[in-house]
Amino acid sequence: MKILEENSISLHNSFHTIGELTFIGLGGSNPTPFNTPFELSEKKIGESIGTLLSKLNSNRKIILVSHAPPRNTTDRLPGGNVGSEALERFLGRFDLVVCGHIHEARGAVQIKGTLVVNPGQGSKGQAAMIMLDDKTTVEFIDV
Amino acid sequence: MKLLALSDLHGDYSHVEAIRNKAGDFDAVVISGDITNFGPDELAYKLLEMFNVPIMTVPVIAIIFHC
Repeated sequence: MKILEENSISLHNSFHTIGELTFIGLGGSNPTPFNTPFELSEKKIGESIGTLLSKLNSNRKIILVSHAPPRNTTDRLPGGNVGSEALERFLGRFDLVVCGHIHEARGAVQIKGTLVVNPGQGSKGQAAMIMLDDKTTVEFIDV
Repeated sequence: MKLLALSDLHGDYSHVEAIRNKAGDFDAVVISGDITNFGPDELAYKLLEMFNVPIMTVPVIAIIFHC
């Protein structure tokens, strides 16, 4: 989307460094039952993330910004977990994952040293503040 | 570093100012998708103009459709 590229830092399939943090991004989602316009196969997600990670300086903290959550994190629906299996395989390689997509699964979980945060629905007044220091902490915001 | 994380706004930015005020100081905004609800793209300007710190985004189904 051109507006986002010109007025913000669009991270899709790319990375951006601020200080000691490197942000990498993945838009779209893993396949859904609804055949939405921007779905990526699990194979493609895995290849994209693997390529991005191979380019990074490991001394910085790595933050993944992904619309879709990794499988078995903040991705629980009544019928089961629906996050990306490919992203799940990379848990432990990121310090932080900021995701969304699954409105019902707001929260934060830590798996293999990776903190996964779904800030919730901004349209409902939900957000999260993430403080990255020696230890990363999360405070959820509701207005 | 402090990050304000937002997602799934779906074109409704009515709570963003209150969120921003409650959040206090932060160094960057991370928006992890669904900024609009299938457009229009121009709606995203309204959101981006509400912050004066770096904003990092990823495109998602609702907006990539209009590229």
